[in-house]
Amino acid sequence: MNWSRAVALPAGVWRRYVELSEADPGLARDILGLYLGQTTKQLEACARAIETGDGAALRLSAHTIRGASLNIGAEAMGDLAWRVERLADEGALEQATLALTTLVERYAVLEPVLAAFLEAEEPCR
Amino acid sequence: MRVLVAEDDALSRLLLSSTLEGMGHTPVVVGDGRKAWEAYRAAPAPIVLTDWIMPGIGGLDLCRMIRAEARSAYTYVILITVLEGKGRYLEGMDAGADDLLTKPVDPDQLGARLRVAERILGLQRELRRLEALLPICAHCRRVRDGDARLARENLIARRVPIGRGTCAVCSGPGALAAADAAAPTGGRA
Repeated sequence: MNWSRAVALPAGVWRRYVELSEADPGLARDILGLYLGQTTKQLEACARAIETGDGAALRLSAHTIRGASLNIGAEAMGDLAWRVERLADEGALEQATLALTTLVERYAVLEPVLAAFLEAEEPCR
Repeated sequence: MRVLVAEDDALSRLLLSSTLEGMGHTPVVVGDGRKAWEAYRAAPAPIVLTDWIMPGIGGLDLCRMIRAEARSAYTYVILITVLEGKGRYLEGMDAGADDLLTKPVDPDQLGARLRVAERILGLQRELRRLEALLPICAHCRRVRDGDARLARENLIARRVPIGRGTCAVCSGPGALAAADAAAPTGGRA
């Protein structure tokens, strides 16, 4: 375990990582890796949905980000995604755009931390 | 036990299938409600774990479709959602779900809910087994045929003391003749 990298992780993500590692060390890494790949794509899908004014698609992508974020213990991301999801559901796309900006900014902070953690963390065999 | 998992989020799918395999279950994992419905129609799983919100057919619709399907075996449906609140819970139950879990799914809670599901499915199986036993003749223990009901009604009309569920042979012509002879009024009602 690379503790210096681990310290940079948000507390919730770290707790969840330890929890998942106890059950299956390989799974914890796979989950974080999958999160990085899919959240980037889902955020892009959110941006496209806003461009085309597709509230339903925005809601669905934000919902996926929310679920995935909660699954890895990234509660702040989950809360922000929930905001986008709720606003999309209400048809308030202008406000949803602002909320999405905050979500993207938050991910821009989290993404390199997770990527660095995964890079430093030895795969368990 | 075979568990059909319907979840559009790849991360949740991986977590659920890994957790279920760790518990000794056999997950059949699909990415949306339509595929779940196809998989269910092809080979109904006794337990269905479904996400609430999915593209196309959502968890609530999937649940209603499963309940509308005429099947002898019961299907235990657990909805998984990040949506919270009493209203959501009631909505899920009204759609025919048996249980509701919130994301992130806690493996211990999931395990406990699946044990409850297995208990209920076991009781359902036992109930069907007992129902199947009802047509067995109380006297000869053979399966009664379609005439048993009529024969029993004849015996009742002749005031012959019989047990419930006597078959046509045990309550047949010989039994009727014996009952007629033994009856003080000649046996006829």
